[in-house]
Amino acid sequence: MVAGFVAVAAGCKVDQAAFDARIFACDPSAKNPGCGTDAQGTPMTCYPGSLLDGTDFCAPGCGDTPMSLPDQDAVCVEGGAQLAFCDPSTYPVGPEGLCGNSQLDCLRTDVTSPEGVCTTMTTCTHDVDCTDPVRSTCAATFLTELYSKNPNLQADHLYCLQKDCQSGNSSCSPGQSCLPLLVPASAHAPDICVPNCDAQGNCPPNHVCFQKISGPANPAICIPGLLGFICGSDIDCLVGKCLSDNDPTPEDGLKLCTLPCARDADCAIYDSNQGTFLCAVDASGDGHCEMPNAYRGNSCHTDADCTRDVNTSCFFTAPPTSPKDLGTCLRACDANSNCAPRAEIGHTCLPFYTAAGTAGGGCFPGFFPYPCQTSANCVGDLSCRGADLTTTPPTLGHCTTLCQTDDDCNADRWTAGQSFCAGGVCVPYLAAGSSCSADSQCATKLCQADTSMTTSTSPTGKVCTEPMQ
Amino acid sequence: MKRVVRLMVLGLLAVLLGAARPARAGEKIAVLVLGSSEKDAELADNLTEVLIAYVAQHGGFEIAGKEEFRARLGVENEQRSQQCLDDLSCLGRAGVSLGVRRIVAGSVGTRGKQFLFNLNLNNVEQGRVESRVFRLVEGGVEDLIKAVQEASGELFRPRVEPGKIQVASEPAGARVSIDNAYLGVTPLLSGTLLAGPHAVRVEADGRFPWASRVEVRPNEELQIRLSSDNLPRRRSWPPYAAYGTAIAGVVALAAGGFLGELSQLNPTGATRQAAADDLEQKKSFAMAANASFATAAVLGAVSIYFFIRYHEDIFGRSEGYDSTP
Repeated sequence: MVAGFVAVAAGCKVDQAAFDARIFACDPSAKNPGCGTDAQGTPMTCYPGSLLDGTDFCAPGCGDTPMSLPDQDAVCVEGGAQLAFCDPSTYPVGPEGLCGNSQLDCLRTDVTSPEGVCTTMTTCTHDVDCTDPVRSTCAATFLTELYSKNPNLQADHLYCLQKDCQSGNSSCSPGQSCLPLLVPASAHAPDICVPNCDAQGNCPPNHVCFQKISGPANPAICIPGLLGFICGSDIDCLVGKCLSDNDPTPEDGLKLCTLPCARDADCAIYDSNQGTFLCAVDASGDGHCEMPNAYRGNSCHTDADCTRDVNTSCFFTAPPTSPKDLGTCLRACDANSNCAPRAEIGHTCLPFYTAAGTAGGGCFPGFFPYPCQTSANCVGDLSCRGADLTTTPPTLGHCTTLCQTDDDCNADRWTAGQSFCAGGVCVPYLAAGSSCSADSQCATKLCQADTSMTTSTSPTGKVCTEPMQ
Repeated sequence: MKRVVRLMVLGLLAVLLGAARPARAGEKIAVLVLGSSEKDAELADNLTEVLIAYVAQHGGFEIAGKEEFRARLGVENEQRSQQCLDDLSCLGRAGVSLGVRRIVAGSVGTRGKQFLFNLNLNNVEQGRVESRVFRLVEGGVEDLIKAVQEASGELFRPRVEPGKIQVASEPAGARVSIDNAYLGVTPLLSGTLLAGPHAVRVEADGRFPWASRVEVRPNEELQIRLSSDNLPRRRSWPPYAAYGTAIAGVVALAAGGFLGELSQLNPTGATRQAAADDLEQKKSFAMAANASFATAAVLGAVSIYFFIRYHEDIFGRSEGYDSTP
């Protein structure tokens, strides 16, 4: 009897919390993944954790809009899965780890702030943490190399990836694709394997589905949310937050992974072969790191493919002859062949062809040494030199910078590695065969006496030559 | 012969010991032990001396002379004397002539290595035997003397008159036990009982028993009349209710424990949905377990109430003795 009273006092109940904390595997490709509902009756969803070398598991549903859910200490990621928020910068207490569950690990979702989500994968901080012989490089290594000028990068609790798929000519794991093989070479994509988007165009945290956000002419691969990259929500950004650029009409602008800044130097620490950054300050005085490469435009076949960036059309470098020809979505130049800056980034009008095959000008970031009418057409600290708008037609100048020596050109972030000083301005390296007077003027870094059989046209008697193989 | 001599020495010792104690003045009695046969005559004679000495000392009697008694019997041999001792009228005559009211008469004989003797305390005045003893003694003469002394003490021990108990009850038919011996049903008149305390217990079906210690006095008939108040009705349902609720409580507790154990098993299933369905089932088990525990608690409380409230109906009354029938 006493036992009965004790039992009643204690009560017998099912540990719903323990059940909710359990991780159940699921098949995201199944018609019914079998995740059921949570304790409140809300349908659960099958989160494709395998996209990042984890396992697919059932997670609470949270709707289709990825967002942070601070009141629930969670993050709603792509695919409508609600993952628990975690702070990867804290020290784990106990065997349950940072996520309070030994089956989960804290995946950092921003290398600039203590943010992470709990998922079924083993995170890494160093390459030795990656036990998979294929995915043997930790994204932390990749990021620290990429952003080598930034000493404060919080590159830990990341995922393992496969490097050198293009240079090593190796195939990626099933479900992944070699990024540089699928995006234009001008994007300087890192030589890594990236996950493919799932059937719904969803990607794991820190990634955005390129095709979903850029249109059907682009591959269905998950692009890492590096600084200045296109994004849909904060969860897409591995670096910074996903914010609208400073376009005067926000709906016409782009959403980019960005960081707050006060001056260009704050952004310059993120310069890499992915692009050069500047601090774009809006009318309210707020600055954000942005890179002109974001406005290179996405690939397209027709104007209909240009959905990512409003008011853009599909422009081609040559008249398209096949529906498979790839163009670039750009805004058309105005009647005066001029382009308005976008997000404090100067744009210049370049000659292209429309999808119909007619000549047409498209606005492109005013990189060195693109033609320009005014300095407003140039990016960063470049200025338009040699333009004369009084002539008919106006004489175009070039986006460049002033210099006294070649070092001045290499010191400028926008001309470094691609110019030498000539006539007080930085000019592009000379191509092979061009007359030169010094090695530093040649792209090949080799200026030698012209030994061609024909009569030399070089006033210096030297030409840029290819290095001997 | 040697045994007789030793007997005489012992008898003399006994007499001397007896003489050492002060004799009380009192009733005069005659004492005579005869041999069962001629060969036991000497043994009988010595036993007579032993007996006289013991009786004189412990009983405070004045003893008539042995030889005088024998002479008053008016017989020549042991056999004829024995016949007179067995005849109260013959003894009466001898007693009157001796001036005694009571005569201790007996016989002794041997059978192999055994001694047989009997002693009668004859009341010649009333013509009845007041007391008699018989002994078969194994051993030697010392044992015989000791047995004779004990027998003589028993012979003169005052006789306790028996009493009786009459038990009647309302309703009749109750079972009566006296001193844990079942005697019959009421109304009942017991057989003779030794005077003194006796334990009486009266039981009737469906009623609480009545028990008491009573004092039976000699030659008295103790009347015990029990009313229905003395034998109150004993309810039959409380044991069923108390034990029934207790058993039901235990069953409910066991069921609760079983269901509780089931509810604590890890939910299983091929998918989370299946595991969630299993969890829901386990929640049902947990609820059922709690209901069972609550039921067990209630039943336990009810059972305890029954046990406390009706404990006499369930366990019976404690065996205290009612002194007021």
